[in-house]
Amino acid sequence: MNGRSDPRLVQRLSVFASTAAVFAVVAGLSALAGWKLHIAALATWVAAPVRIVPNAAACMVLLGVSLWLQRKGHIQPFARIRKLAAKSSAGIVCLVGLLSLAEHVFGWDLGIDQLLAVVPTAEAIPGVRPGLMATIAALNFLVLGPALLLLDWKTRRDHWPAQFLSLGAAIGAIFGFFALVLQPRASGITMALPAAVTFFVLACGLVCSRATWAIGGLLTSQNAGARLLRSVIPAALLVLGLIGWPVSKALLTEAHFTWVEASLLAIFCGTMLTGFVTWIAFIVDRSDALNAELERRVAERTAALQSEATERMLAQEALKESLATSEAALKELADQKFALDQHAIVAVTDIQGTITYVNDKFCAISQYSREELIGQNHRILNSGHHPKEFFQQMYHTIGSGQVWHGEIRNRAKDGSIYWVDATIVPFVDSGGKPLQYVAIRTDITERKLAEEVIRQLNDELEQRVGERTAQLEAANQELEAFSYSVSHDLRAPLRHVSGFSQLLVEEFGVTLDPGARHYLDRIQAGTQEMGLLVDELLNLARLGRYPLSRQATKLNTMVAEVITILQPETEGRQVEWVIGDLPAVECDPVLVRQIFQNLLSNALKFTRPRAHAVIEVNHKKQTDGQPVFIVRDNGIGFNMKYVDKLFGVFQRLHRTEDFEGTGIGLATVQRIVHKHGGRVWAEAELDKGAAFYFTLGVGKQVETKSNGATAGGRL
Amino acid sequence: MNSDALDILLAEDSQDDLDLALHTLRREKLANNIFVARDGEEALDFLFCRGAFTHRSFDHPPKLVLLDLKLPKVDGLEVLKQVKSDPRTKVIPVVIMTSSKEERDLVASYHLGANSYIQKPVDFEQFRETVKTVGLYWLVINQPPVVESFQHLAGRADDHH
Repeated sequence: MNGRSDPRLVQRLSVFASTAAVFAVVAGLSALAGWKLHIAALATWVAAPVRIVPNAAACMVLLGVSLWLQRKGHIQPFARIRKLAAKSSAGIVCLVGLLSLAEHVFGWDLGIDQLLAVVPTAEAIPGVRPGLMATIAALNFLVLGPALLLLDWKTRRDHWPAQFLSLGAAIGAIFGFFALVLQPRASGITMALPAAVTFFVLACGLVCSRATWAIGGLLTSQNAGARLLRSVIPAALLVLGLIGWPVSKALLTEAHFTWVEASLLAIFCGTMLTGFVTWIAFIVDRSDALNAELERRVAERTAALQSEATERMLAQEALKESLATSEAALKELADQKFALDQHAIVAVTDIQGTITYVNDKFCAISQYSREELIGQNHRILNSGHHPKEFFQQMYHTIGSGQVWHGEIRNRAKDGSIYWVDATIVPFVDSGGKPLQYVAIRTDITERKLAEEVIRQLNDELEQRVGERTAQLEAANQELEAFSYSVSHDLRAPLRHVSGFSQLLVEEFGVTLDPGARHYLDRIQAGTQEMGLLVDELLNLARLGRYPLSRQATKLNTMVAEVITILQPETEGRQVEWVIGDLPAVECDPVLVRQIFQNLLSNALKFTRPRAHAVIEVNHKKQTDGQPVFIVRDNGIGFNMKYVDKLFGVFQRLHRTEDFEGTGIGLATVQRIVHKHGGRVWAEAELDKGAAFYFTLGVGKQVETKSNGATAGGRL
Repeated sequence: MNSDALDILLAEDSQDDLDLALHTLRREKLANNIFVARDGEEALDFLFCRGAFTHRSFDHPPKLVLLDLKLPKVDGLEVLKQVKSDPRTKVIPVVIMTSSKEERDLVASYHLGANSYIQKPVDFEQFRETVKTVGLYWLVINQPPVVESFQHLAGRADDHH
């Protein structure tokens, strides 16, 4: 019967317990005072012969103190000292009860009865030593003392011995009360009224001090059984008392019951009645508990149902939401499909290649109706343009779950050809196996036509280039034949002119007048000049016909050699050569030597008027790291406005009388530089000197074939 | 020097060149016996003792052949080729004298066994110097192969003398 306690009741009972403790202390002290001050009423209360003895009164005080100190419900200071004091008090009571009982049983006199106050012999009950407490009182102390010692001790089965001991003490008190009332003559077991009352109050107070435990729990529980108990027991006991009093009187007088028998009967009846009511209370409680359990289950089920309903509602909400999302997604998908359909030719085929869907554009371009296409294979559009392997490769790609991209030539229903740029996307299952293929195509017929036109134009161009190349080759061969014949045939007449004019001088010189001889000298000079010209022209022409042969070349060595060759020209002159540290480069050494020879020869020639000629050969790095070579002199220079003419064939900026030359040297230089993929330019100032710059290109250059045709190069 | 012995076969089609060359050779007294062939065929007939020259013998080859490359009928390179590929004539020194400065002519000539290659200078002074040097070298300085061994090498006896 451990229901929830009613806190108000608990509170009240707690107050009662405190009151009981105070009552016991006050009762005890007043009795002791009565002894000291000889006021009998304080120890008897009523006009009765039996007084509470000093020892008993002191024990009452101690019990009251112990109970007070062990009150519950308040946070109190000095917990350990309080506990020690409470337990000590209870212990003293136990000891006194035990000793007093021993005195009764064994007839000893331990001298404890007169310690607090002398009890006159006249007060003594016959057969009992004055001051010795009643047997029942001693027993009660032996019960209440341990009860207070063990107040908070609980057995393993949730029993509080203290409370049961208290019940025993209460019964003892009742018995003592009966003894006082029913006993015809006071005896050793007769207890004074204050003692009986105090015992009863203390016993009740002790139970009430732990109002939520065991018996206390019965008093405060909110269970139906406990409520029944609380309302029925007082009423039952009252009725029992009302009926029992006259009955016991009658029993004593007429049935010759002794007072003990009557008392025990009354106590027995009361106990039985209480027990019976308690049993009923238990039954009520159990049904109450069952009821409560049922209600709990109903509540639980209700809660469960409610939460289920809530969950269902939430699920529904979620469903609605996801439906809305799906609808939005579907809408978006539809929009995208619409957009796709606006641009592309779309078809879906199953895994066998059978068409399961086509969009309007597909129908439009293929000229087949949708009905004609669905269920067909794409072979219906095959133009026969692509080889079998083309489609095999395509099916292989998409069959392995990969996207295929390519251009396909198709045939429409009317036989016309159209080109599409196609992307075929396999839709695969979770295992990567294709389920169907979606083909998205774009009409590229026009582009293809344009490409075809471009291709044709290219072909034509190629052909033209080929023709032109052939023409050029022919022209080149002609040129070669021409230069060969120049070399061979043009020189012969020169030689003849030279030879015969020489012979004329030699053989008929004496007969010729000086004027004629002078003219013959001019003829000689002319033929020599002409011979030089022919030779240089042939050199220049030959340059174009030989392939460039690049090799790593030390330019410093080359320049030194060239200077050695030119040494005869410096005789009688003061020439200062300033040669920088030139890098080794990849070039055709034969041709590059020609460059230096021509440039240095020019420099020597045009510094002739200088008393001190300075000719510098150097280089500097361009921004791309390639070297620029420089040949600089302090010669007569030239006017920059003629710079454009500088590298032309037969172009001369000076009169032959001043500076000899054919006007082919710089043209040759330019030709060699260009052949290397390089650049040549000049800077000069009239009478201040000139500087020639050139580069030799990088690495492998497009080489010119010996037949003169432009090699490589695609159009 | 035997006056009957032929010193030089000069194969030259140009009368002008011929005159200048002969003038020089004679002036320098380098060759008394000079035979002039005006085309390649004539030069070959002469060298191989055939046609108009059947009376000639392989025993008396010229000491030097001065060969122009540009010859009518059979050109100089062909003449060279035949001369140098026949055991009876291959030891005859052949000097190419030509106006051409073409590398391919030069290469081809040496390839076919030319003993020397000379470009005729335009300047007559130089021309004369060149001819003089060539004549001096091949006719005076150089030791020609002996006739006996030549005959032996020719592989057959010619009983003309």
